[in-house]
Amino acid sequence: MTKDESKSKLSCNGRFISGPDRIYYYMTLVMIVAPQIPFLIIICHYMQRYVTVAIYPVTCYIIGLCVCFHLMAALSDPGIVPRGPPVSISENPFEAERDHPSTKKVLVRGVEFETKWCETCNIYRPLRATHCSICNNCVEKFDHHCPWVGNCIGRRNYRYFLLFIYTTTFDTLYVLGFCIAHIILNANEYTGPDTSSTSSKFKYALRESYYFSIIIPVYCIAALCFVGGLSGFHFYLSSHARSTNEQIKHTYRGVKNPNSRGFFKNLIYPFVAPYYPSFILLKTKRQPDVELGKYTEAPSDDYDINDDGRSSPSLSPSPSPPPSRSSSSSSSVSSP
Amino acid sequence: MAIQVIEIQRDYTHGMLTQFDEAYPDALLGKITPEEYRRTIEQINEYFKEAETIDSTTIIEGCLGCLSLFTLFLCRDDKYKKTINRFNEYLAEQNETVYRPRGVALINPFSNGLLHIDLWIEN
Repeated sequence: MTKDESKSKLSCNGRFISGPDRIYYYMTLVMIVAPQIPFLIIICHYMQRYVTVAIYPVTCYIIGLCVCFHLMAALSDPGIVPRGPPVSISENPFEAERDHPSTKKVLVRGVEFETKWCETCNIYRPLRATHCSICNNCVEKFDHHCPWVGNCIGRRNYRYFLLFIYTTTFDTLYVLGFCIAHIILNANEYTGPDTSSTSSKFKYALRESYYFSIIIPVYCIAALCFVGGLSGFHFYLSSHARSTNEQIKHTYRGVKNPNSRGFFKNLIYPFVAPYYPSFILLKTKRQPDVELGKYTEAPSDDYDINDDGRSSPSLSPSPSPPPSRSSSSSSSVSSP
Repeated sequence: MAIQVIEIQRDYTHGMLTQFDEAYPDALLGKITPEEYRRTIEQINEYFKEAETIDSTTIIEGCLGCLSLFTLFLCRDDKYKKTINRFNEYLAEQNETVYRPRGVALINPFSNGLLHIDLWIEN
């Protein structure tokens, strides 16, 4: 694998994309589901006499939601930008900077930003896009590369990631709540010899659940520090319409964030944003034998999202990349 | 037959909305009139604006999508996809009627990740 090739993995005949580190995804799946099994068997069995037998399907539904959103975040294309045509840049750095500047300035609602040239992907990155070194792709509205999901989080799968962490936080609180209720209710039912001593009531309650009602809450509190903290952090970020990457680099420090629409609209936006198509999967569907991360020319002028294969145009492209490529007089603010 | 490629860049003055620069490229002199070109790009910008604006339809689709675990979109196209299908048809129609007869091809910007619209000009 050369340094320019994408490290993302395709699966299921080119329908899904994930990052190269899938092992952590399976680990996270086990860490979410494994503690719920003793919870369902022991704690729910006791609690059903207080909250009806509906506790079983509700718990299974919540676990199902966590697992589904985790899967969707892991297998969806985060918004990988397709590679651009290869460009020959001169060795002389002064000539290179003159003919092919490394940054271009762009005005967004009166605020000036820079778009950088990405050497690996051969494109000027779209605004808010960053190159992920783990997957070796430029990703639109790059948030971060999440090892627990095994994929980058970008424009297209941010909503699945947010839903995943919010439902996992809710699930952790749900399990914690029921375990504590289990301890308290069991302690109240203690009919042994020493009813005035709280420690013997407590020990009786723990024994009733084979000690799971203390193991699971400890695990939940540890998980809550992590997942709950992440949920709170992303709640803060999405209310300010910033990505993790922009927060770390302080892109909007001192300037008004042009992407912010207001507190409530910012919070709702990730869930109602348009469902952009996957540019990279459009290419691999048309040409299944092409490798991910290689530049391919547009074979025809229609790129139907539903891919029903229209006829090729009369102006057919030449097999090698066209000799001259120039940008039109663009609206970018070019510094003199 | 030499093919010259002109890239029409994105216009970010209205934020992150996908809009393209309406300035007339000089390489089209003699082939496409500025009026025709401006009409095409304006209509393309209209399609993208309609596709990406959040209105009541988008909010309802978003809510139902989240509740149905996104299986709703297996049965029914969302607003963005429907608008983009109309955009694809418009682009094909413009290519057939106006551009290709004069030796110019408009390449769909979805092929390069909505970074720029390519114009392939035959010389």
